[in-house]
Amino acid sequence: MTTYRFLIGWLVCCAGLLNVAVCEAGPRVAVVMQDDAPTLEKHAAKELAAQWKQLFDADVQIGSTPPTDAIATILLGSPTTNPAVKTALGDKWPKLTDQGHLIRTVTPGQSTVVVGGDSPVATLWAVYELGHHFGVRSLLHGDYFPLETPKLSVEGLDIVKEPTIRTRAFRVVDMSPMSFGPWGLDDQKKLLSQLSKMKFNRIELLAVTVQSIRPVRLPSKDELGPEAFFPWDFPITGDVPGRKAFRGVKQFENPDLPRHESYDDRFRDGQQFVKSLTASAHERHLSVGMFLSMSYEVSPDGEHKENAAQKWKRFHTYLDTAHEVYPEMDAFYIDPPDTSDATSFQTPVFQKWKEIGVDVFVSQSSLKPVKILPSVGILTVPQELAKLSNTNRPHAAFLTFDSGNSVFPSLRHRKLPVALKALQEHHANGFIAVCETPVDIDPSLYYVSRAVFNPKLTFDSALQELISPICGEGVVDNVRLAFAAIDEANAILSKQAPNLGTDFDAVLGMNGDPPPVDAKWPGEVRTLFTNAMNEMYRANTRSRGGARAFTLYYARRFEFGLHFMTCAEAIYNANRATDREKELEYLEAAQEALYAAQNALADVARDQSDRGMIGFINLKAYQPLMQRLETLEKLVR
Amino acid sequence: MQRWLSFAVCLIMSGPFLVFAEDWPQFRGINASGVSTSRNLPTEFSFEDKVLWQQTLGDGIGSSVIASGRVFNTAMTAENTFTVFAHDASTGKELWKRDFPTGKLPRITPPNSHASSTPAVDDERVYVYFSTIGLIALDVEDGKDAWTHKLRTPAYLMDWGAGSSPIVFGDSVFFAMDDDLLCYVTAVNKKTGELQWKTPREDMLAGYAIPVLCTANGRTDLVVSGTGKLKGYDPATGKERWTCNTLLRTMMTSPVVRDDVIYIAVQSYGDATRTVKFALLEWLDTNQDKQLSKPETPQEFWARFEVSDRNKDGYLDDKELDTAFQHPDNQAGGGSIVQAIRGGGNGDVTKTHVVWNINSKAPSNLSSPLVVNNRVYTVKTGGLLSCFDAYTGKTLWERTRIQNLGDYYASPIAADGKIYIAGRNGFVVVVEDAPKLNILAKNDMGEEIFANPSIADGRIYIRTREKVFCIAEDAKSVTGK
Repeated sequence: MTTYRFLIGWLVCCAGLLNVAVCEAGPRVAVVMQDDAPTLEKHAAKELAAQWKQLFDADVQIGSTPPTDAIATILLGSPTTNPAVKTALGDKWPKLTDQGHLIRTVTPGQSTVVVGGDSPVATLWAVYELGHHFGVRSLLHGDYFPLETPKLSVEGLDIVKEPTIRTRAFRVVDMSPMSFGPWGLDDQKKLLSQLSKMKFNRIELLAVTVQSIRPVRLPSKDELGPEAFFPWDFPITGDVPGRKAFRGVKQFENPDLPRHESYDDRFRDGQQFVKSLTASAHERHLSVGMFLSMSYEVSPDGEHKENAAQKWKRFHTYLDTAHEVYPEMDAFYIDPPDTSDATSFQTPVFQKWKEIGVDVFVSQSSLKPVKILPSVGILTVPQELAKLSNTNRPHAAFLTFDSGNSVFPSLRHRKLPVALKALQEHHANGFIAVCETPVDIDPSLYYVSRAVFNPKLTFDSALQELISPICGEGVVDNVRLAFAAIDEANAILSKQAPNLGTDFDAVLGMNGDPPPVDAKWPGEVRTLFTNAMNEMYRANTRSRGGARAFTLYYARRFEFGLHFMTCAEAIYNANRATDREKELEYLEAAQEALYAAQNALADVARDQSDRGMIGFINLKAYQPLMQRLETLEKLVR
Repeated sequence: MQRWLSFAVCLIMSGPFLVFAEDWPQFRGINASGVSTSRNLPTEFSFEDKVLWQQTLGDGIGSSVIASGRVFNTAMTAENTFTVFAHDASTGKELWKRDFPTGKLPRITPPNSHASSTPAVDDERVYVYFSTIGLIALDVEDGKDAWTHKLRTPAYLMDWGAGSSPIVFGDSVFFAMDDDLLCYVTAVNKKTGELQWKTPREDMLAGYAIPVLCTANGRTDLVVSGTGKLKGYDPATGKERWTCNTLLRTMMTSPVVRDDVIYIAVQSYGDATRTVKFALLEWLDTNQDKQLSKPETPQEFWARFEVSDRNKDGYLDDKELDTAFQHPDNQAGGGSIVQAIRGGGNGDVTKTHVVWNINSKAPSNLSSPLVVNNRVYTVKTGGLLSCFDAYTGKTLWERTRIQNLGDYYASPIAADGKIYIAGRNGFVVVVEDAPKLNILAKNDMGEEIFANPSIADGRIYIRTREKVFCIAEDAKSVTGK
């Protein structure tokens, strides 16, 4: 009651200053916040209004006092940004870090709830957490809303979230055509919004030597023209299987990094791309780190080998140049020179960077042989974290979401929880989520985004939490069976043919030795992909009014796996064939299977990564297969 | 003179139809034959070459229909908006378009589209079907409403979605709707939309065959193929005149009439024992316990579920499933057949009117056969073209590659000594209409094709997933329109 008296008085004081957003219909809901609330909290209020409009068709009014006919009142912010929160919760506001956030009903039985965090961005995350409570599921490409409209009630809510890992970075730019390299700025901005909803707080950009986003100009010998840069742009002609995915474009490329003829033009575009992306990330309160993957093997003039002092000088120069080109960068991750004793060379470098105030992490997959000063952050792999957990050194690790750049479906739902647990047990300061083929990432990404705030969450329970609200009861059972089959298929592939999904030149490129004719594993893998596909089609059937885009995507993706494996088997048979007629027959079967694989993926392609995979397979597998087929046809007919 | 000659040819070919030969008034043209008398048609073309005009319409898989210099198309132009377009056939100029709010749309399975039906047209009206609306008649001149005939939204066990198209003949618009719930064939007055008759087809499962007309023994029958049976109806009353029980479970292809013979080519998944029960246990039985629970069954079928659950245990078990959705007297299974059946019979003609019947792997489950110059052509997934002698059923060639992989939803069409075969991948392969396979060209239309191409007045109209192209020999370059 005191709360409402206070709010009414407040209304009188603030009359005329209210910023009230009025929607048209549906139940009325109030979001109470200060007119001078931080910008990010105002953004959080708008996000909440949009979310509730879609969830409940709610008429959400944002202002410093609630309307009298509101059926629910949300006090948004923290005690420091919103007096209403301070009044409502008083001592009940828990001790939170600046990333901690809560959703707490003010008094049991009342329809007033505090949604906030100890910083504006934490308040934004609290809003997304509220959406999650009502069944909204945010994934890489957008949000799925619950199949059934939930009851609009804020009674009895008491959710407090603290992250177990403070820096949650996601690599949004890398060099694979099947990853985020081809994503243009418009796509990237949508991606940043989704990452924000999943409570990531940093993006990371991989700057390797072939990319135009790198800050460092390469030696002149590499200025050979466009090939010096991101090499994965290729023409989309009529005979590209699955070309529908490309929606009529004639050239696959990152639309914001087009193939200029001039080195300088591409270099300029790359840097502009990073600056625009960084600005967009900062708008969404995501910090930005750049990974500088640099080579020290050859000197800039390409003529001679350098000693340790020279290499460390170059390390210093790389960092300096990167900071000069990208002063907006919040962190750098960098490969060190491979020198055995470098302490004396490092001291001035890291002392300077400490003064600048930009985080610098040195990348090491093994802590030997380079010795890095004890105060310097290390970026490593989860398996190495045990060596760092009892030190004061900042440490972070890569969290990989797939099996390299294999085109086979892969969910990593066994390895990922182990890696995340290692990060949590060894108190890692952060991770960089890396996914070279994000086509299958959604379930794993959802798991990570939730398990970071709940270490007890298992992948299986995360899957249930993800699927059931958006697809309906029963669907998750089929999804589980499908994923288990994919896991089993990958286990066989990694043992029997680890390069089958990556090295087309060696395996599909017709030069590889086929497995023995009586080898059972190709058939077993094909059967497992078939089972996975069938289970996903059943899931798709069952989900009916639900998130069919989700289930159909994986059904077609697993169908892709089936056809791709069928193609591989046909090539194995062709390679074993003792006469040309038979070889031709097998190669035609292989071509048809690969064509079907590409079209299965094209039917559900959502983004540049999917398109990149189709284009890459076309370039590296389909075209060589066609050439072999044509050569053989000439000999036979 | 030439016009009158064409008119005469048309009368000879089409029997009961009274339309100009150069029109293409419905699904696959005159009597769904896929054959046109047009001449001087281009062999080589593309989305950039020999394009007289093109228009972006929106998502759709229904074909263009052409009459009296107007081209009619349909598309989904917004999430819940169905649009009918009329364009000038010579210039592509939009003459009119009509938007219809669809209301809540039923579930469909890609690559089906909500704009899946091909209109039918005569001199006065264009007749259009949409799943949530029914039949709509619009004035060809200005698109104004003539009438609307409301029909129940169809329901599909596997959520395939609607795909049937109307035809117009005499004073009637005929429409066959075989879904999985309540199948029927109906006739409405083409001027008023009033119901003339409606005949249940309760022994049918979902299918997409268009009705065709067959004149034999001086009598015209409305012929509709469906689960296990080809049936002839009296167009005036809807009374069933004859049935030939030689067909398969799922009939998505349409029959073709040549003289007094009806040709069928279809593939229905599985062997002769595979009734619909097996598909239900494979796909709807999500927990694979060999029975269907209510939540596993689409809500539209719950009333049927309750009736079929004879022991009231809440499940449709093996025996209950046999007849829950497939009629006990019509347990047709799968297979792959090409058949010729003579029209004009009475009663059960199964043993009397089958001219020839072959089991062949040639037919598609989706693409209908083409009958031209005494040859039956079929095309299927993989770009496999087959050809049979129309008189004897003798195989001339079988499943020979036309060098264009992928799926085939559209059916082949013929004119000017050529056969046009549109693949889903957007390529139109042109082969010679000849006893031996001779591939003449492979033409890229740039985006997927599900609709049958249409031919009228020496032009080819190709409805791709989003656009319509008018292709003509004398078109010089891309219009860029």
